Amino acid sequence: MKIARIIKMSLNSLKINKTRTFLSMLGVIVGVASLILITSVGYGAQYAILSSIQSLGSDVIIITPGQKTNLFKATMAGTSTALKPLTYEDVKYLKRKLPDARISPENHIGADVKYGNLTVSTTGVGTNVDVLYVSNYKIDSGRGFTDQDIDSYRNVCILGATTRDNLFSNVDPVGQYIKINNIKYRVIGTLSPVGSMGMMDLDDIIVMPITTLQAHTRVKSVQVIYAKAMDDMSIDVLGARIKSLLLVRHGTENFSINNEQQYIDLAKTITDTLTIMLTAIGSIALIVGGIGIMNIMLASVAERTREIGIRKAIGARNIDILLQFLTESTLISGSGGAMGIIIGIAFSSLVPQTFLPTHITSTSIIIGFSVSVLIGVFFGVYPAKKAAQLNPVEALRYE
Amino acid sequence: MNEIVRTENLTKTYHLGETDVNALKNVSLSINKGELVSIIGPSGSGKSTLMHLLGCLDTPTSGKYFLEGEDVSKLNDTRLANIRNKKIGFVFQTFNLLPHLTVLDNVILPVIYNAKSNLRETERKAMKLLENAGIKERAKHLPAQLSGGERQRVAIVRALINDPLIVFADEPTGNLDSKTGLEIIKILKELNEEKGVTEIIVTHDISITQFTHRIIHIKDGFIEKEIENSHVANAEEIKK
Ligand SMILES: Nc1ncnc2c1ncn2[C@@H]1O[C@H](COP(=O)(O)OP(=O)(O)OP(=O)(O)O)[C@@H](O)[C@H]1O
Ligand SMILES: [Mg+2]
Repeated sequence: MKIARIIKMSLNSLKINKTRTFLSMLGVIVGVASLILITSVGYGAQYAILSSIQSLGSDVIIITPGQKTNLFKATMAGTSTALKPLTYEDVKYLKRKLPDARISPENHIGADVKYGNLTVSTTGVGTNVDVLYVSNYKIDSGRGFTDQDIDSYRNVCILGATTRDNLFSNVDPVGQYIKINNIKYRVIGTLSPVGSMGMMDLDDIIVMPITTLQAHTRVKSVQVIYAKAMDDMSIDVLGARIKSLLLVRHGTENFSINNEQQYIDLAKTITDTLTIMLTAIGSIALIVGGIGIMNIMLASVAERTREIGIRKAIGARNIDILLQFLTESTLISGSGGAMGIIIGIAFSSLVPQTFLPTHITSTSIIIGFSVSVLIGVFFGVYPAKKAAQLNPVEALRYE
Repeated sequence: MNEIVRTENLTKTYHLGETDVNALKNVSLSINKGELVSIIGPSGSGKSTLMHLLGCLDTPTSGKYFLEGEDVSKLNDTRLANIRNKKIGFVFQTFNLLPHLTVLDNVILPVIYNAKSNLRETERKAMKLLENAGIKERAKHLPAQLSGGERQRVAIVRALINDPLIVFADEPTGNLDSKTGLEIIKILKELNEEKGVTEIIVTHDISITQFTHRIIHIKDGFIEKEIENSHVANAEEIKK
């Protein structure tokens, strides 16, 4: 039989009992939705870590809130509002005590930037004058921040190359006024492109004074502090000095000090953990969803015994019956998987980004969908075989 | 003589736990092209069993079955399915239409299983056959919306859609009142008279046998007697 005819026939059968079809999808929907959701959190964490270091040099020290015992927790705490031991006061203190070092804080927010009737979504970065020393960013046009910009909470901003291209096509942005989350800012400069890292576009940002951002978001803490020595002081010495200074100020070690390599190692650990997690969740979805589908397909085969007998009497071969039922189970699991993906994406977008950053990747979508299709094939084979092997005479006698 | 069906000592034994049920014992018969044969016998005598074997729905425990000279008693499932699809038409007592398909879709269902078929053409042919059977306007209806007689007409049209070599009707009037039953017999009789379709009809109703060329009496799984009908009544004699 032609494949198009089989699919049409299977779709018709599935339409007859919509409730049952939906119930048989449920396991796969839940399985795939949780797979998408959980991995989006994992990838979000990885993304957050990588994006916080990719624009930095290897000679930069990274100070985050939370104890060093768990680097992952510490990083997540940096994006969480729950733990706020690092403040802008710490930054000013370190700058005073370490005149040979450049110290720059960073806070990230989701930013809707409006110019004229054009609005783009990007990442807002609050920082200070030293950002141009500790990061790889360079001023392309206009100027960088001055201490006055920072100290007097000015509404000024610098555009990343992508943000500039998205908002300004043929106007010079410097001197223009834009709105960030509905608050008016003046553009004072633009950054040269630094490129992208994997899926992250490092130029898709907008930079503003940390003080202004903190005031507008009513946040006292800073998420991360970067430090870089200006002379030939090693990062180990600088790290030790910062540690002793902060210990005195805080009275307790409620922060951690790391460098880029440690973060890259952490990101790799997360990737490895994700792979294991994906496999584990995928297997659970496979078993739970698959057993559900098999159960319902077996019930369906029993209920449709007479139909199978009739089809065989008029010339359906065993393979035709097998393919019909296998197509049904695959359609169930495949569409269940598609629904699960949509629901998973919807739920992950509901997670507040300040609480847990989430990130949907094509890998988890592809794996989610392939797993669900495989479920239908694998767990559909047994019921379909049972249907195909029914004796036509006995099937016709079935009441 | 153009022989299309020949059986030699066809035997079917069912195993029910410890006991064996001999549903059919050494049945040897021959049917020629264009013949209209009736099979009559008491309940449980093996009529349906014989129809299922002749219709390639089942294989015999022993004995041989030649369809158009080909031994089909040992064929595998796929070969048998192809024979059922192309050479055989079935009409059942309980109609056996698929309840969720329209009349037209039920009729073309056998053709769906033939990959080389052209469904458009088949639909046109199906509409023509439905028109001949007087139920053309029912094409888009579901079987449940039809009367018993109309359903059986649909079943007959379905049996004819692939221009079968032979049509088997197992008590086609068994679920119908006598008047509707006669209408169905008339359709089958006309098909035989006008189109030369070979038919075997199982019945309990002795009056139906007067329209058939030959009457096979079955009892306890074997052929008790075969009677050539020397005065075959024709279709017009079926009273309105
Ligand atoms: N699948 C089966 N398993 C066991 N016994 C069977 C099976 N099919 C038929 N039989 C037995 O074989 C015998 C013949 O059955 P069959 O259905 O052929 O009779 P029949 O002549 O068609 O009867 P009826 O007029 O009631 O339809 C019966 O005794 C029946 O019980
Ligand atoms: Mg019977």
